[in-house]
Amino acid sequence: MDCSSQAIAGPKMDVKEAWAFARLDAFWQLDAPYSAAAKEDWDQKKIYCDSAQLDAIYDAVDCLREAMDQLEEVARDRLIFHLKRLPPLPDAPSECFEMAEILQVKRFLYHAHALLKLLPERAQNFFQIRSVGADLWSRLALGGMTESFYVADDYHEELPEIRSKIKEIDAQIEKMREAARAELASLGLDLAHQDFAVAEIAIAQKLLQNSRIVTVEPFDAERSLVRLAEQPEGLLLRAKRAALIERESQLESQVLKQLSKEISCVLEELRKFEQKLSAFDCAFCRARFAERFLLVRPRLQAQAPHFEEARFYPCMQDCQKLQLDYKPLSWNLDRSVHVLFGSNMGGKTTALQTVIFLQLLAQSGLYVPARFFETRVYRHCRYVGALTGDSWTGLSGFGCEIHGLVNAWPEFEEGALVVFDEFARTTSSREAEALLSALTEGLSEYPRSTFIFSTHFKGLERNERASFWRTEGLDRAALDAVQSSDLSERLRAINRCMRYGIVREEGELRESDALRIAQVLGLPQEIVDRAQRALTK
Amino acid sequence: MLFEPFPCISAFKNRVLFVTGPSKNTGKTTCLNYLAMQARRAHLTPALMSVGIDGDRQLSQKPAISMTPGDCALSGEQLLRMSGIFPELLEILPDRSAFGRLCLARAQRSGSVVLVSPEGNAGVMRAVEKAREHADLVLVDGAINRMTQITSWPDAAFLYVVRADTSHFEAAVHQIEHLHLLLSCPLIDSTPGIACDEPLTKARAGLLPQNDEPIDLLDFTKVFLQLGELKALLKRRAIRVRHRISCAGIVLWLRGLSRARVQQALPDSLSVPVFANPYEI
Repeated sequence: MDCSSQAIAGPKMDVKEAWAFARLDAFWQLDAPYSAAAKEDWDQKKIYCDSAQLDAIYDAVDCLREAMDQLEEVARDRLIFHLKRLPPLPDAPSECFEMAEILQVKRFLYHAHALLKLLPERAQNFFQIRSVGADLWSRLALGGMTESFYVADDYHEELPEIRSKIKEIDAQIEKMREAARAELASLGLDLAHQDFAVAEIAIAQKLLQNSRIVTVEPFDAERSLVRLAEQPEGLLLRAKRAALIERESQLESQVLKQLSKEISCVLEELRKFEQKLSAFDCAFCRARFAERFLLVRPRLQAQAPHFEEARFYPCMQDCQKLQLDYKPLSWNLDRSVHVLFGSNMGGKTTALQTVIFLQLLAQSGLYVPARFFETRVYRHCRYVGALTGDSWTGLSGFGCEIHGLVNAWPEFEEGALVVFDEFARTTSSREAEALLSALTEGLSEYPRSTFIFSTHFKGLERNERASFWRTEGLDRAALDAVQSSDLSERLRAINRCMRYGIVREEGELRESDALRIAQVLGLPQEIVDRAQRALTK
Repeated sequence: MLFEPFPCISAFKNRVLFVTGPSKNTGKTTCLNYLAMQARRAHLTPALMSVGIDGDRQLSQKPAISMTPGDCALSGEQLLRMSGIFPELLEILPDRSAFGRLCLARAQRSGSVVLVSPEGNAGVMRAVEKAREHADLVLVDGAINRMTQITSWPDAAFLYVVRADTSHFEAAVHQIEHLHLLLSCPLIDSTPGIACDEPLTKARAGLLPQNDEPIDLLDFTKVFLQLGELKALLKRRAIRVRHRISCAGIVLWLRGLSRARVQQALPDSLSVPVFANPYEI
């Protein structure tokens, strides 16, 4: 993570993998701010590493939850309407903005001012949102206090006269055409609502003989194409019109230049205003998240993560789809190094995902789905496991893990939250246990960091500086009753009989229930029996 | 099949009407101009747009659309300013063109504007949505393969403009027959079919399992088969569509051909009305 409190970066390489591991996008994308600028900000998925800054964000969410609650539904809808239509401002001053950019600025002011009228005073004060650009608005609204823009007559003294002349010429041209159409109508051809007609040759000939106001072109063997002819006076008028339009265009360019100058003068101030509105919009979005998903404010302090009844939302969704029960998780990570054992399908990976999920949500400024969540602010967040470095070439799975670990090592001194999902599972169990033993001991030298390992390697040495945990595991007696050939039913049975809670590892170590799970999932009984015999030898 | 009077424009109020055709120079823009004039006559504000693959067409070759005060049009900012229509910019789209940002503008004066197409399907969607906010009906000069979005608006429809003259008579009849076959594709039902998400070309059809199961497509614009190929395929298996695209009718520009001769050549079971050249008197 980039940790400067000024410019906080989104998920870089280190957080990116942890972000993906915790399946955060699935949750993150459930809502978004409304305005263009805030959306852009939101899409960066910024991670904050400064607890004061995070607390300020949480305060903003608290403020808005209260302030927006007091807003009537209609006012809230109108506020959302204006936020949605708030366009982005130009990035930098310009000597000559395009007309479209000037419209964007006008629209920004139009909606921003409307927003201000609706925004509860408490929110205005909290975000220090004060009206700006009043002079510019009055200039841009010369053509009307609407969302549209055109170069109105009032922008230049010469424009009304020119436009009046163009209008006069248009009226003259139209008058001539009206007269011509009336003459044609008297000869039997109505061109009032079409610009040409396909008529029989005889009719066309008759028209041509009796009137000089038509031109006739051959169409096919039986018909001709008849349209109004341009009159000499008409040609002259059109030439005059073209000249006037050219002059009008020059004047309009002058006006756009002048307006560009005026916009450029206040652009910095406007952009600050935009940032405040964007901060409001993002906080409003966070407040909606908190309301919709019953989230709680994280408590930031010096300790490692501690949570009660946390809900790992993506897993909850999966369970819902599979009609499985989801059980919230509680865990107090009281030391630097933690090792989590447990059954296959017993929720070890989900436990690690839950920790990262809560931590990254909290450090992105969102409240978290738990009854209680207390944590410290880490400068780095890492996942080391099967997903690590999937883009690296020339390294095996184990090589990738080691490479990821070595890469992350310098961060441990600064404070990192690192999860190792079944680290070294692709190497020999003896060496893996030795490696894990060394790591759990060595990493305890970094008290500012928190390391969590999930593993099946129960032979790793226990040391006093690490905490050892296990998931509660399978209720084997209950699972023995399951007799179904349907896979989804068997999955539901495992889910029903699995205890996902995390408890300290004490006394005799449980097996991983691998054989029983394999049996329930349909591995031939003969193989399961052989494995059982091998295990008891 | 009889030639019917041109449809009353009021029937398309608050709707999106694509004016499309089998190829270039079939009279789509002329038809669009006519419809716009009829809209003004009925006191309806038209929004004029173009969608399609025009990359191979120089701007100078593209016909300008006549506008009168109140009409809306989608084009590049520079073209709008050059047109003399005294544009009031209403909406700005994210798309950029060689002529500046794509804008929806309202004409405050008469003039002619060359329309510029938005990019991609999402661009078309956005542009039409914006145009609907400001106009009573949206008229789109569009390439047929860009009509997939039409299903997004329940009341949207298309007119199919075909030019038929003595030298291209057979081709025109084939074009109408081709459309007729495509419009006759049934909707997908619960019976098994082979889903085809790619455009259905001759090569793609050859790659599909060779049985009599129907081929299921999003809509008929995904069929890229010549008439002969289509007929041969339909003899073996059906093509079904997820969405029907409503056809308001076929506009037939006849040149050197009598209506009676054309009438004889067209399929009897043609399910859509055929309109004669509205400029004929």
